[in-house]
Amino acid sequence: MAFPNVRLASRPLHFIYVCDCSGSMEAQGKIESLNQAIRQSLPGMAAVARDNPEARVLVRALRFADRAAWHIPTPTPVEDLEWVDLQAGGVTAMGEALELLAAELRSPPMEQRALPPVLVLISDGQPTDDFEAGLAALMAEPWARRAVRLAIAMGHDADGEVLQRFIGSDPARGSAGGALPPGEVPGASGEMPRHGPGRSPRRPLQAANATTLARYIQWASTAVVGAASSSASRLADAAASQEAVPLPDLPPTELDPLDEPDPLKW
Amino acid sequence: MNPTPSSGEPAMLRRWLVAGVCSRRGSAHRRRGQPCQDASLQRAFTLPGGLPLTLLAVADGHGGQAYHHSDVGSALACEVAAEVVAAALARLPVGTAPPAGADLMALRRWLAEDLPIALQQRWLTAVRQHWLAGSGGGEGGVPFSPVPYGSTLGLLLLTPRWWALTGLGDWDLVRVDPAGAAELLSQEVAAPGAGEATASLCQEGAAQGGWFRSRVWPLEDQVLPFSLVLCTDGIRKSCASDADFLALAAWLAAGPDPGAAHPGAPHPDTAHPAIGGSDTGEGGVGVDAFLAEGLDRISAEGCGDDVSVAIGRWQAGAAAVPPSDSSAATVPAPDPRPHLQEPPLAAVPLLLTGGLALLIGLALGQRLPLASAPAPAASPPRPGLPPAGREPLRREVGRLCGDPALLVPSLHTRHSQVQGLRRGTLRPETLLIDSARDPLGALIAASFLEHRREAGRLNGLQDEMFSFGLCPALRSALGSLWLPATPPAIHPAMAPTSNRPSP
Repeated sequence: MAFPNVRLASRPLHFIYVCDCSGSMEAQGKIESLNQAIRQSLPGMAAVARDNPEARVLVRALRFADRAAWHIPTPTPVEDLEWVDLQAGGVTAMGEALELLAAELRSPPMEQRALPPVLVLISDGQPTDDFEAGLAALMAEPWARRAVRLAIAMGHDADGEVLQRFIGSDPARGSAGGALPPGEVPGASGEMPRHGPGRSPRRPLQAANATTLARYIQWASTAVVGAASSSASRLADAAASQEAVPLPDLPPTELDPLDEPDPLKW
Repeated sequence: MNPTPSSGEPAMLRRWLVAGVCSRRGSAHRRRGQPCQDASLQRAFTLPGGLPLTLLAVADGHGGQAYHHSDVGSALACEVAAEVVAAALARLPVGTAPPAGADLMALRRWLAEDLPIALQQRWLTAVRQHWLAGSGGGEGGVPFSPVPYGSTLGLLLLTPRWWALTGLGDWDLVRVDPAGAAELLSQEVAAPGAGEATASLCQEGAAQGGWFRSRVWPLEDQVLPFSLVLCTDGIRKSCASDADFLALAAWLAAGPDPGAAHPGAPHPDTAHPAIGGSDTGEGGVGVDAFLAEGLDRISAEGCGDDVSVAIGRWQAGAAAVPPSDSSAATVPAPDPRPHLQEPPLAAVPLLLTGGLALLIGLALGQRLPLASAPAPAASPPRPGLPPAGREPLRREVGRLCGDPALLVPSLHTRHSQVQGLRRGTLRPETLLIDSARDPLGALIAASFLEHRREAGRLNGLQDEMFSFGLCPALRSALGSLWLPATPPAIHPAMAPTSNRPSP
């Protein structure tokens, strides 16, 4: 009997950049560095997608300044993506961006069989609108809670607290219920972050220069995409405390972001 | 596919045939050099009364670094299932009539309580033994944990007088009728945002924690043929939609054309040949190759996951009675009840068109005029619905009409049935025949047929429904299901409930 006329399909993997395009991103050429880093990461992401044909990597981008808007509104296969440069100017409507993001993570339009999406928030400043409302709207969506949520802080003016709250707490490492380490903040769930000191993908990634930014963008678009392409089951009773996707090791950077004393070098 | 009986048992006992059991390494695992973490098994037993019992099992190791022995865990899950069932044969109903009353209750309790506990305990013992034997990877200094062996497990137990499912995890069970209409009978209901989370044998207290889902169906001789397709989640996740999944399940259930070129070559990617389907043989020459090719294609063009399937087929046939030389204490007389034989497939369209009214009459215990519903010439007399089927219908009508506030919430839960009927993936007679167990489903099916027919063709049905006290509110709510727009009584956001709780 011939194979039936059914639609077999790889599982969509949505990768969404959420980019701060406020006026401060114009300083020191940060917006140019961000555009360049993303553009340069695309071939690597496409190669990972080719190596994992069971996942259909679809890229979108959201920008926020005075208002939030979709920069690349259509989920675009990475091999077809042509990056159009972001432009900086305005304030930091991060909350509105998260609300826009939440709307796209509803099901539908999210596919029932999608892989956990990858959300990358990149910012150099502090929200100027209602971040709380935006985060609440986002985290109300099951797909957002399942998502791999990463944050990159460009420079030292980025609000680490809001970026950490976007990421949520680190479920994989100890000290739940203990006192917060210096500089730590509760995650979106209200739980204490469980990661220890040092770099962690479950903490905002501090990009103090263009090179580090490029490495983090490359890491997110290749290693993380590769990990997210390989779905593995998790235990149902531990789902809330398990990462949706085991995150790969961070790339080496020129300077340890925790104790980096140097000024920005963009 | 033309399965043949095996093992020397009388053909009359072999209404259940195994149409294939197979596990295949997924395309992603193949590319990465990882083993197949799925397993499957078929095992035949004989109950003390002489009735055969066939066990079908599929298991899905979780994969990922945290579950690096899950290929072993899934294989052991299937093996211990066979051991546990073998040890429990004396507890199972052995009568020649479908279990009822205390027997049925005991069977349900065993499936829902005792069997899960025994399965998990035996599995934990087995994986610990594997770990202690040193093949657990030599995790020096690391205390034993069952988590690396984590696996789901789905089981079918098939006898001529009842069949049952049990297990935990994200496996799916589809029922397919001879015309190819498929219905999802069981699935794991995940919490919102649960993602890839699934219940597992490695979870502490899984057997007692409500993670298992179990259900039993008594079988009368006149139950029409159908197939059961039990599969791991890799198949459903490879399909773009549930409709595609059901169509794929129907294709797998139908099997290869007789004589089709499936050479039956050895399949190095078939998992655990001693456990998986490659040595089962009952499905006939070429079935293994058919399944292997089909599953490989599903994985390669779909999600890339390992894929497993176990297919059982309830065939048309003579009454299933033990042989006279069986070990049964008493030899039952041949079943005097008339048999409702399945017409050949070519006659199915006739049933679906000219015979609808008769079918409804069957379901509601009333024969409609033959002038509007000619039966296939070769069909034997149809029995009326057993009293057990009429009373639930009457009660359901009374319940809904007695409290119209129940109408919307009750119909909300039947979104999948409504959609299945609308799309043609669910045959109304499947619901009508099942009216004893699911009277609301039968009412929905009857309403669907009423809607589909010209005015006046189903007056008998309407009269019969009114004889149950069918109130205008219920009639209206049922009728609204078939309006062209989204049915107002069925909110699309409501989750389908094809996985109804165990009775």
